[in-house]
Amino acid sequence: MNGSICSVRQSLYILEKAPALGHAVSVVLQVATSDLARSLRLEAMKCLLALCWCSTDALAGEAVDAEPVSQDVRLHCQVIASFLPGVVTSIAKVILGDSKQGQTILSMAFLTWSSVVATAMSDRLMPQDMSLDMFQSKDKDMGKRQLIINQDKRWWNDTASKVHHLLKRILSIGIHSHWKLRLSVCQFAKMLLQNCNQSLENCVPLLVDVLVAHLNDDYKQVSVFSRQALDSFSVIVVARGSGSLISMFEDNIHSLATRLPRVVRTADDTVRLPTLDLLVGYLRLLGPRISSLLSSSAHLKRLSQALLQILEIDLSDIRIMEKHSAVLGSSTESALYHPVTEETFGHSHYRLQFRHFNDDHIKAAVIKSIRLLGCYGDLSLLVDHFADYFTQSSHWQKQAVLIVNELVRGCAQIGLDCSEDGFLHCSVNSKEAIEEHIMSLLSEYVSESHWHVPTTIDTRMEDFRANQSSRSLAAINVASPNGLSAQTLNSNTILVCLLLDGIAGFAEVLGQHFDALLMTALYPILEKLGDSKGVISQTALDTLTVICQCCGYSSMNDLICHNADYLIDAVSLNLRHLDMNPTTPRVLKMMLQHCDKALLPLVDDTLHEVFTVLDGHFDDTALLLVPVLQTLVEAIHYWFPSTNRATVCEWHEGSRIHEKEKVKACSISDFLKEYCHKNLDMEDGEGGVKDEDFDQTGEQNGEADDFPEDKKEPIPGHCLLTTEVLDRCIHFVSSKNARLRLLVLSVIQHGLLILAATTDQLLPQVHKLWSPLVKRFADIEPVVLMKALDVLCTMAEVSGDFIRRRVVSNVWPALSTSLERMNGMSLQSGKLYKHTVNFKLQKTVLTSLDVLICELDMGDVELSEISAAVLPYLDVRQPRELQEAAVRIFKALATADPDATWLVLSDAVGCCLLPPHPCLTSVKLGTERRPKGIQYSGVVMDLVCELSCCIWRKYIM
Amino acid sequence: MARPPPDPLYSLRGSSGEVNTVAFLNPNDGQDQLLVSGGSDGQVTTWSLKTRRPVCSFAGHEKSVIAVEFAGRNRLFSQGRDGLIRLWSLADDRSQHAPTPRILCEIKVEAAGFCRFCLFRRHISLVSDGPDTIVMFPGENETALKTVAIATGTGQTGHPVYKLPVEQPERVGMCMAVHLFETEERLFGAGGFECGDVLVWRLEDEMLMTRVSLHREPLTCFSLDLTCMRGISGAAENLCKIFEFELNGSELISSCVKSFELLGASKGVSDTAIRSDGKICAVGCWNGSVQVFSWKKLKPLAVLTYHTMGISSVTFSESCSSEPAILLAVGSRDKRISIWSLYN
Repeated sequence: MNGSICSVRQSLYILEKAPALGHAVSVVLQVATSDLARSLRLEAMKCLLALCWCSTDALAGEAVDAEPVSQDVRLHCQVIASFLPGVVTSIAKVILGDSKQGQTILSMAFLTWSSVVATAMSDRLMPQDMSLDMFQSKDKDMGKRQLIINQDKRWWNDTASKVHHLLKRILSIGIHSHWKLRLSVCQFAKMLLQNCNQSLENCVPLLVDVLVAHLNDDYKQVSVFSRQALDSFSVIVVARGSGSLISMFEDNIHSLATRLPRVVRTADDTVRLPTLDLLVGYLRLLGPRISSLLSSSAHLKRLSQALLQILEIDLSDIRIMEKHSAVLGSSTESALYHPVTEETFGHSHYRLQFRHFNDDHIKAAVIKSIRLLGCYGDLSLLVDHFADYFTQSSHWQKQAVLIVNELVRGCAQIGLDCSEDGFLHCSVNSKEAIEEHIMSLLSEYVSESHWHVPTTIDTRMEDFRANQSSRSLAAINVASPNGLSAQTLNSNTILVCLLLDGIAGFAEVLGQHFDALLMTALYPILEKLGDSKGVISQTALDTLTVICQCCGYSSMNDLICHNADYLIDAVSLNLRHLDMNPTTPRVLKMMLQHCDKALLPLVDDTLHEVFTVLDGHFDDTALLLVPVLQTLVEAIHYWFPSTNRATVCEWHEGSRIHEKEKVKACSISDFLKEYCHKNLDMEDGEGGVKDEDFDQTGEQNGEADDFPEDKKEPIPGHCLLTTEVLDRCIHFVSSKNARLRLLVLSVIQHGLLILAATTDQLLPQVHKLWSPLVKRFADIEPVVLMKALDVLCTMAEVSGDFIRRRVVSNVWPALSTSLERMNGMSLQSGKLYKHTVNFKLQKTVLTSLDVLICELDMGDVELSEISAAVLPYLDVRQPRELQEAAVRIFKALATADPDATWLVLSDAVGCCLLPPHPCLTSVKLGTERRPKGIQYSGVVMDLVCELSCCIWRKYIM
Repeated sequence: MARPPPDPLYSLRGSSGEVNTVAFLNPNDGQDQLLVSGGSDGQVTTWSLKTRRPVCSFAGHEKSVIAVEFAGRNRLFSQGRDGLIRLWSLADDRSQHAPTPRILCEIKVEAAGFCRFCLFRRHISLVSDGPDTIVMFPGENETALKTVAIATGTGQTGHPVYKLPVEQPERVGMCMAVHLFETEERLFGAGGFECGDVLVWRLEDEMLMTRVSLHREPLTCFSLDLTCMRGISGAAENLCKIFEFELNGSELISSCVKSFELLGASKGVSDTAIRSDGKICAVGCWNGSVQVFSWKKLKPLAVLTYHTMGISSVTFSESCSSEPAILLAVGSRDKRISIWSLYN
């Protein structure tokens, strides 16, 4: 039959042959439904298709021929139509039967069902004119005539409702697991939609649902097919302008929106996702008609309610509470200057958590639907609508912002892959309108009431309290909340993040045009970048990265430097009212932290304003501003790596080189040889040094002669700036506020490192800083004391001998007393002792002594005092870290003065000097001053042996 | 508690030299509002108030620029201490790669001093390429003031050229400030002098009409409000004077009406400005503050403190449809220009 031509069709499908044909059909159906052999059933269905003369190709094709249907075709279809009830019910049974019967059978069944229905109920056969009776032949053969149904309007309606019933059952089995089957379901739906969208109008929603549900299929074949099918169907719909269809879609959306919140709240992911996919599909289908849909307030309200309810945000995530993460740490030096382009800190990235779902697919589907709304809807209407929700209740605020963000993104078709969707033409909203909307939204976003919602316990209050009462650090940490619940704070945090994300969205939408808005946007973002909440600063960083990409800046440094004028203007205006704008210093800080030295000349002006403010107000603003200075010196230190420091160190090394070499010599024979060499070398060397010295002084003299006025190299700007910073800091070293003291000491430390290169600047500063610093060694806060020691070490490193005498006379007594006082405490202490401040203090003191011995050329008396004070720490019962530190000190001592150290040590250990050779008698040292009760570890013994070995070598010669 | 003094709307930074003078170009047909400033290093800079950034900056004079003024969108007058007034043709701001401005015309100013020129632009030019602008500047010796007419389109100078005479020039001293104004279709030229007086001439017959004694110290600046024929003057002292004119037939009578002291101990006044709607006037002082008074009652309204060094120039913009708020621009020797929006 497949091979047969039209004439056969003419002769076969006539009234007379109908009974025979009917019999054939029923036999075939019998086989198809109940035979056991799979292949037979398959063949039966193929046979059925052939019998019914359903050319699947023609039906699947998109050609809707306009030519009128010929009489014989009509007759053919009529004959088929009379078999329709039997065929559809039987095949439906096949479809609804055992799911294990294999996908080939099922897909064949789908094909058969759709083809038969499509043939029998094709739109083309719909009676256009009811008055015209199509059956002129009335009297021929009434007997057989009764077999053929009369296709009148009633028949169409009845059949349609029956088919609808069946279809519902067929489709109720949901989504199939095999992708080929899903594809055939889509083909099934497409065929019916294509051919019967009028005759089976009541089924259209069901069929569209099928296609829409497959839009987001994991298999590209399926999703693309269903997209194309929908595409072509929407072309048909649009071409016909069928109002009833559109209104049906709208009704569907309405009911879907009503259903959605409940589904999302209660059902599991397998139901949620298809439902959301449906929404997306419908919105896509409606396309530009969305804006008219939304002009109906009922629709708008329903939809927006649904979205707002779905998107309820979970506030219980602990990560919202997190303080500044270490990556962006506010004061740690390591946090500075990570390149912006690097995406290394993504791991700590916070993602929004929703209350009703946490599947990314669901989120993507919701967002896609919002973007579609933004794309096709009237932006001003939507934005106004959601702005109302924003103001109505704080409960809706976050969702409303999220939705507005996505709407704006949608209107620029971000994330709506236009290439795949043929019918996404252009947004309803014009470019200018979008720009205007964004402008007003931005100013709304950064307005005081939204942008500056409290996200932490009010910092201003905290600082104030810190100033008021606390003289110790401990009091600062116990800050009581200012009446805001953690829930509110979290909610505000999320809100700020969403606002930031919105700004990123604006940048994405406007692209290069966003440049003009940087004037307003950049300052608030930087303000948030410096926020103490990790989530916020992270989001702000992300936003800035997006802005960099969208506006064509190569890095954040680039972005900030190019727009420094806007920032500085805002900063300098806000500095005038620092009490009202406590976040302003943060912005400056962030600028310094994220830029390179190109920024320095730009902010110079502002920094001087900071100085002026600092000069004018003392403690109350200092806590806000000193962090800026700290960042500044850290930044300068990083930008201008001091070259001279290395040479300073080398110079120090040089002075100690002889001792070191002595220690390192290995064997006597080597030593002998080396000794000879060295003697020569040393003579040469000394001579050389002398010559050099002489040359240098000669040169200097020469220069001095040339320029009788002291002609100096111009001092680099950053050094001058550092000097000014240090000048301000001197006043705060003795502040009542321990935190401020700490900060200032840290500033000083970095400042000294910067000045290391310019001795002319350095030494006067060291001189000025000395007396306030010395007082810190008696600070009641151990933390401050430790920091002060740190600073002292740095000072020793950079200025060397300049402070030797001062250290000896001012610092050493304080240190030695504290060491002596505390050695009893740490003796035989448990593990917990390591976590106490005392332990840390001891450790810092010991470590800094180590550095001091290395850097400063101490005299004999001082060295012996140090060794006496440190000796108790060599005890095995001391914590191991302290022992190690003490050993390091003794090693340093040994380098400085091996003899004395050896004496002290061997004295302490009480060992006698073992002769290097048996022929020599052992020497018993006369002193018996061994302190009682000290037990030494093996390390100390090794140290002693090593030393005595060296000493032997030295004296045996 | 009194409200805190207002803050500037924003400030324009990046001038290489001290800002000596600022002037607005008021926008028409939706273009950006522009501002021009002249610096002590001879640079002339135009700023876009939309982006708050320089549009173009060029070396206008060898020496410090003391006055600038727009004459249409792409014409600019500048005056330097090198004794020259130059008319520049600016590139249309629509073209991206702006070529450097061209000098259309140069006028030599003989008098060495700090007196700024002043422009009088006819609203309707009868002859299309004829002179449409009169420039007035101080002359030498017996000639107190001089005017030159210029066609700004081509840069052609032409008639009428007036020379306003003064007797005993050594008694009045140097001219410090000049203004041209038209009332009842007659052009008048006013000059403020070192002796502290303001002298007014009728241009058409170069006749001295009136003379009003205002200050004991050298007068530095004055502004006129033609709607009520009133003016305010500042001098090298902590006083401002209000004076009035009255046109009686062909006679012009002037009188000093009021004298008032400025707030704070400013040693002198460098510039004054009256807002075009006649509501407020601003006085820029040497100590870096700008004092704002109501123009009718002369009630002190605000002291604008922002600049760290002396104010060199204050000027108001004109109100227009696209920019309804009238802005105040203040140029200072601290290299910044601040823009304020007050009582709008």
